[in-house]
Amino acid sequence: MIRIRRRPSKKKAKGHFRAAQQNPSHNTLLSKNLEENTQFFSSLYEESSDVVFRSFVVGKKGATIIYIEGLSDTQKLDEQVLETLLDKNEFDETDFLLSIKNRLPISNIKKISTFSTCIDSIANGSPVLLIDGFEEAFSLGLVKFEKRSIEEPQAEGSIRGPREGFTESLGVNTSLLRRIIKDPALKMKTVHVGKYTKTKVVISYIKGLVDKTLIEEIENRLNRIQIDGVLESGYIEQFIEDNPYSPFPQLLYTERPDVVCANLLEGRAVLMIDGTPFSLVAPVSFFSLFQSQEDYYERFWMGTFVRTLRFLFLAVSLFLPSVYVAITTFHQEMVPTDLLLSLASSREGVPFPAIVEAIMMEIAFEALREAGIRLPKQVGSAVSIVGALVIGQAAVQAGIVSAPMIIIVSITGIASFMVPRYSIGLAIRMLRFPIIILAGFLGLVGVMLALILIIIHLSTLRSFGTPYLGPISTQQKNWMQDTFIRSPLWKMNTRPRLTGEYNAVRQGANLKPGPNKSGE
Amino acid sequence: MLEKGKISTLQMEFMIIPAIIATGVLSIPSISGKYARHDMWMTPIVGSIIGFITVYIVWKLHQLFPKLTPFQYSEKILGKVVGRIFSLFLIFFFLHDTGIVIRQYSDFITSNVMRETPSVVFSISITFVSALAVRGGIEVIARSAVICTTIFLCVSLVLLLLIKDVEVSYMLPILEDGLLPVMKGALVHTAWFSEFFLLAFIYPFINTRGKGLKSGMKASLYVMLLLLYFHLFVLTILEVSAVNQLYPVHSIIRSISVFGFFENFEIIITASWVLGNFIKVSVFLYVANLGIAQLFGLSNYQITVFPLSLLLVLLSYWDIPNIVGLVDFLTKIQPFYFILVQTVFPLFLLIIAFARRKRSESR
Repeated sequence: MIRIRRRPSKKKAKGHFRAAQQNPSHNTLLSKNLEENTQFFSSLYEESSDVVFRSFVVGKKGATIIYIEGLSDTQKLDEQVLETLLDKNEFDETDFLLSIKNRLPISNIKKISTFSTCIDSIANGSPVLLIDGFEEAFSLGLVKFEKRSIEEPQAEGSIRGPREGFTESLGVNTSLLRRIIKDPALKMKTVHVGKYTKTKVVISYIKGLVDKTLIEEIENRLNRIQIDGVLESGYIEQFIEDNPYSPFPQLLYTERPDVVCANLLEGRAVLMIDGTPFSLVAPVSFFSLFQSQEDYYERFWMGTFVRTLRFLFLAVSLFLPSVYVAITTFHQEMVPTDLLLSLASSREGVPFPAIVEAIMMEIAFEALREAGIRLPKQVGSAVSIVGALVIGQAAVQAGIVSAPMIIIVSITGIASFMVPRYSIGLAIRMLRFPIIILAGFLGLVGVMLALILIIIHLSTLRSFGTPYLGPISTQQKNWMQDTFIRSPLWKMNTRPRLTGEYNAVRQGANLKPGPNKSGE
Repeated sequence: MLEKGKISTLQMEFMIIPAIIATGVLSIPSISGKYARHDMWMTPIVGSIIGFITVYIVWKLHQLFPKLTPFQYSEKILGKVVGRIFSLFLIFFFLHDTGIVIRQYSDFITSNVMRETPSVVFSISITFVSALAVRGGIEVIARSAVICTTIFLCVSLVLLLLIKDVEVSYMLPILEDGLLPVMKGALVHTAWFSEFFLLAFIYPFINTRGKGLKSGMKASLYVMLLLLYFHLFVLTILEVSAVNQLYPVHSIIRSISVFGFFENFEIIITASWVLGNFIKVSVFLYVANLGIAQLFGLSNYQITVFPLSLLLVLLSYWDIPNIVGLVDFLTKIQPFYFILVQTVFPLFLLIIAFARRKRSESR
């Protein structure tokens, strides 16, 4: 039995030849001598007080269990493994390993034969059982570590919709997906990234809906990454983007399983990273960053209305301060007379030109907002009081800033919260400043030039090969169904077209509900 | 192939519509009104005939040489030497034309919106953003065009606020002096409608075969309807005095006043015209640039974009002394010059190509 098993393990060693050369001590096969093996591991884990070596005798043979405290279920290890092995019962000498395996009441038990797999198994929390006289060890699947329970997502709230959010542990997150999508076509490929963290990254997709080349491309980009560690999905995001210099996010991050599943069902791929509740969705378009899951859960009229509102406020948050600067500096004649009079009277005592005023106030607002996020919650209210009273009220009364400017800045601030995805909100916040400067120099023409520059940039941008402004600017079929408007679910018969292969039909035709339709 | 991008027919329409009317809407009404007077609203209809003819000629040429631009097939039709000279001529023609467009745009902005800013600021800025778009290739121009044109056309709806001021009797009497003044007025339009020759450079990059003619004709129709829309409002609000205005459409938008509050829309419409002109300059610059790359066998067309746009800014000042000179050029030279190059020359190309094909078939 052992001999037969040895061959494939040799082959495996050959396959890993290159890796073995880089790291010769790790990828060699286990030795027959228990002493040598334990020696190796104890030298590897020297100065690591949390690694436990437990030696004992099983049926006249020496054995050692190695595990890391806190990662493995010690109670089960004691009760199920040690108790069985230390039992006086005889083990079948002719096939010792098999008899041990058959005796142990553990469902997930694997034979491993190289040092590196042993190390991986120990690091992941599966205790390793080494037995004297055998070149193979057992990895006992008794992983148990402290994790956060499933909670409501903090960053993406909703009124109607599932309340479950992803957690930091990958196993929980994949199980959440499996619970929603039961079809075996849901695939999960694993890639390890990070030299020291060895973070598990799972590429999840639905076979038959997704373009195969997209998955290959994602894998290639992930395999290119050679960094020390991955601490958040942002690390991965920044290494696999199409255009790293763009201010716009080219992947969407979410901590909601329902969002992930919706995207999977539309033929996108999802990257789930161990250690963070945020998953990445690729490819995305500009318009998908303005979709919130609740648009689909509520009636389509509401969805459409809210979406229109979002795009309106996108324009407001990008252009309102700069349009104000342009109008007050260059195009006063555009303002109706009464309004102009009140504007002029409130700007009368203000010593700064509008552009300086606008930039000053926008920076102050951004600082307030940033301070509010980082501060402990108890202090946060103090910041808002100081911000509202001192900067708002007192600055106007002192005649440093005009009241209309305060109004403009606050409206802009509120407008930028309308964007359902935080990452694109950041881009908008940042772009506001150069636009204000352009408006201060060239008036509304400058604002238009800024708009053109943004449009050109967005037109050049791609996310994993799909045009960023699609499907609007690429004028695909059904380009309106899920962009500015959200058409009724029974009408969205096609999936959005991404790249390459395309599984168009989403649902049956003629799904429009109504009375007297049941029998048809 | 230099250009790897592919665009759809709808995107082509979005590109070509502002490429015709962006400057047309500025200056056509006052010039066509000079000749046609009460009947100026008919001029776009008559003028559009040239548009339909040009689209048809260009389409026939495209069918003969499906994957080539005029710079390439002129060589095949006219022979290597003559064809190259013709291509070179076309490139200079488009450079000149782009120069005029930039000049029209920057003159308009400086004389109406930003009176104290030197016009060179606007010509440089519009050329710069267009050059950026051209560097991205035809796909980027097309995608930007979809959004820019949508905004551009939506803002034009502002004119509907003028309906209460419309005086239909200004259109009477119809055809007082017969058809001749209308024909004369239409001649101005033909210069713009002959610009549908640009389609010849876009057709090779269309992803659906066989739909180009229909969408080209549709684009021509839309341009005609849009010009008709502007002309009707200009005529019914300003009467024949529109002739005295350099930019009559701009003038009528000034007079919009709703509830005494929504006034002075001209800034907004000027801002939207920036978008239209951006598409226009981009398309023209793209064609000139592609021509240079194809004629001289460059490996990519991106390298010539910025030098060429610098040249264009100079060219826009070199050719035209002042706004009066510009109007004079638009009235007296441009119609004949543009039709000759953009409609008559392609027609000759088509005839020669057919003759050659016939001869090779008969052998």
